[in-house]
Order: sequence, then structure tokens, then C-alpha cells
Amino acid sequence: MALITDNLPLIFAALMAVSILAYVILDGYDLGVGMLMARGNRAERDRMISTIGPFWDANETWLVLGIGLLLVAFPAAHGLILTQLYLPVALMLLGLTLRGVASSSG
Amino acid sequence: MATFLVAFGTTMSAFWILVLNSWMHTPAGFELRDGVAHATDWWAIIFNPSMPYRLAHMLLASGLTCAFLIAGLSAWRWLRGDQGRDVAIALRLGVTLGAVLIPVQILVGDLHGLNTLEHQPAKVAAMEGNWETRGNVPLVLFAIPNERERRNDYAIEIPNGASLILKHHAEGVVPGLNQFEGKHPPVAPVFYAFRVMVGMGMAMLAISWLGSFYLWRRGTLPKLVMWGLVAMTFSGWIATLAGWYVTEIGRQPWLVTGVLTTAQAASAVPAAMIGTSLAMYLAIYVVLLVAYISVLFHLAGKGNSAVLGPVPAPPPRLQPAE
Repeated sequence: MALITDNLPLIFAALMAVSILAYVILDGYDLGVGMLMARGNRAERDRMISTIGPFWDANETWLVLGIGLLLVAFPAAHGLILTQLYLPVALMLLGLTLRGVASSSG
Repeated sequence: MATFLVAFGTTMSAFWILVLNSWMHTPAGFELRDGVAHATDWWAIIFNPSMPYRLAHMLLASGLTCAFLIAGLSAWRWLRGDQGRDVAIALRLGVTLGAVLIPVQILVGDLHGLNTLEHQPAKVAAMEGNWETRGNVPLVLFAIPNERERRNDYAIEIPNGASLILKHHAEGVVPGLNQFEGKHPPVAPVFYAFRVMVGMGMAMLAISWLGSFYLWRRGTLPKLVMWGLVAMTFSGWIATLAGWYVTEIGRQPWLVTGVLTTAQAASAVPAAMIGTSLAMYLAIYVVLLVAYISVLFHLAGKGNSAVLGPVPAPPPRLQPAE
């Protein structure tokens, strides 16, 4: 028990790293398929969408988990990072919103 | 199964979001050490004083939004000539669900108001447009709150109404905004948003009970009621938004009531950047909203075959043996 409570920052940093790694691998796949879609014909695009089908929405949540862990475990860092990187983060969020819409509209 | 899982997940999400948001309104289970809040009692943090009321009120609001959306779209389809059994079922479901939920919501809303009176009296004072602490406070149906001169202009009021609702007594003393000089929310937005929400609630009650009465007695709805339901399609959404405006604007100037003001918590991000991102969000959401509503009504108007595809011809019947 003491082993855990003494190393909480390290444990949470590791959890964050795992979460972001999971996001990069899983959603990276979805985003990659999305990027390649421009080069396919109608039938190929339908096939591409079905490969990521029900999963792309869920894969985004790994990022949400990572940011959530940042807020919960490292609130000062969270405040500092999101304040300084406000506009890039806002653009990223808008991009994610539009990606979701584009996915749904085909 | 999948539907149940989604509903369950969303409800869990609503629970935790409302726990967090309610703590901002009625913080509990913590102590301040050197300006930092430390958790001392997690049960008190989670089940803080306003949480049960706000959770119930929000869940009912979601149910109502959904009921009126289904009822309105079904009525639209019916009026367009699509009068199949599935449309009838959806219509009955929407109207009946709405009729059942709205009186419960009105009751929960009242209880929520009483809880808010206890913990956030400044918010209630703004909601009621009550400038002076006194008894025999009228229920203001409509007015134009005059913040500079601290009175209501062009007021249409029911005598003793607010005292009766909040204190169950005509002489009941209702807190006034004068008690909270400098520490109360801007009155006009809270005042108007509250009336939009309650007004919508009354309209929901009227149309759903009228509709239910016709369904019970006649089994069908007159055209006027159908059109009324179409008009009320987004009433739940409007009422829910108005309610959130009441509660969140009503909490100002506090971010965490009595602990941290919004001004203290504001970051140093330049206003221009915030303005830019807000403008981008609004632009995108307006476009998405328009697209969503048009697609919704377009599909509703087209009927099942357009959405589900052509129904395959039934297999040829076997000839009876000679």
C-alpha cells in the first residue's frame, strides 16, 4: 500500500503515457484510414469506413482519458499547458468535431 | 442490448457530471488549507446538498426532450400522410411519456427550487426578480427587471405567489437581491431564462395532457393537436437549455459558491483567443444544427421505405397439393 501511495505521481504519469499511447495507436489507425480515403473510389471508401466502423468514436476516448488524468493528477500542469497552448488545443478539438461529422456523413 | 448499454453509459455519465457540477453549486466534504481545497469526505462530496435534486431534474428533462422529439416527428410524419402502425406507436409513446413525466418534473422542479432557496438564496432572488427581502412577495409572471433602479418595470404579478411557492405561506419572507449587494448574478438573464423554462413546462403539460385525453377518448388526435405537437418538437431542448442558463448564470459571481469566484479562476489567455475559439465553435455548431434538423425532418417526411430501403417482395406462396 505504501509502495503505491509513495509513488502516485509516477503511477499516474505511467497511466497517462499508456492512455496516450493507446490513443495514438488506435485512433491513429482510424485517422490514417480517413486520410487515405481521398484516394479511393466509392466502393473502396465504403469498405474503408466499414473497417473502422464502430470503433473510431470509442478510440477518441483514450485521448479524453489522458487529458482527464492530466487534470486529476497534475492540475497545475493541466492549467499551465492548456493556457499556453490554448489555440492549438482549440483547433484540435474543432478538428475532432469535424472528423466525427465527416465520418457520419460519409 | 446495445440500446440499453448506451442508455446506461449515458446515465452514468450524467450522474458524474451532475455530481461535479452540483459540488460547484453546493460544495461539501472539503477543507481549505492555504487556499487549496482538500477532500475530507467523499460521500459528502458526491452526495452534496443539491445533487439529488439536480440529477433528478436533469434526467427528467432528458426524458421530456426525447418524448417531445419523438411525438413531434411522429406527428409530422402523420400529417404528411405516413400513417402506418409504427408512426402511431411512436406518437402514442411520445405523448404518453411526456404526459407522465411533466407533472413529475414540475414537482421535482419545485423541490429543487426549495433546495436552492436554502443553499443559494441569491439565485432564487434573481429568478423571482425580488429586489427587497420581505414577506408577501408576488409571483412575477412577466416584467422587465431594471437593475439600475432595482425594481421591475411593467410587472404582471400574482399577489403572494412567490411567498406561497417558496415558503408555503403568504407572509413567508423571500430573500431579496438587496441582501447580496455585489454578490448576486445579473438579474435579467436569470429572470427571463427561468420564465422560458417554466413557460415551456406549462406548454408541455397542456399539450401532452390534451393529447393523452384525445388518445384515451378517441384513439386519435385532431389535426390542431398534431400541429401543436410538431411545434413542440424542440420544446424539451429549449426548456433544458433555459434551465441550464438559470442555474449556471444564477451561480455567478461564484464558480464554486462561497469558495472561488469566476473572476479569481479566470486564466490569462488573451480575450481575443477566447473570442476566436468561441466564434469558431458557434459557427460550426450552427451549421451542424441546421444540417441535423433538416436531415431529421427530411427523413421523417420521406417515410420508412426511403430510410430502410425497399421491402423485398414476399416469397411466392406454395400451391396446395392437388
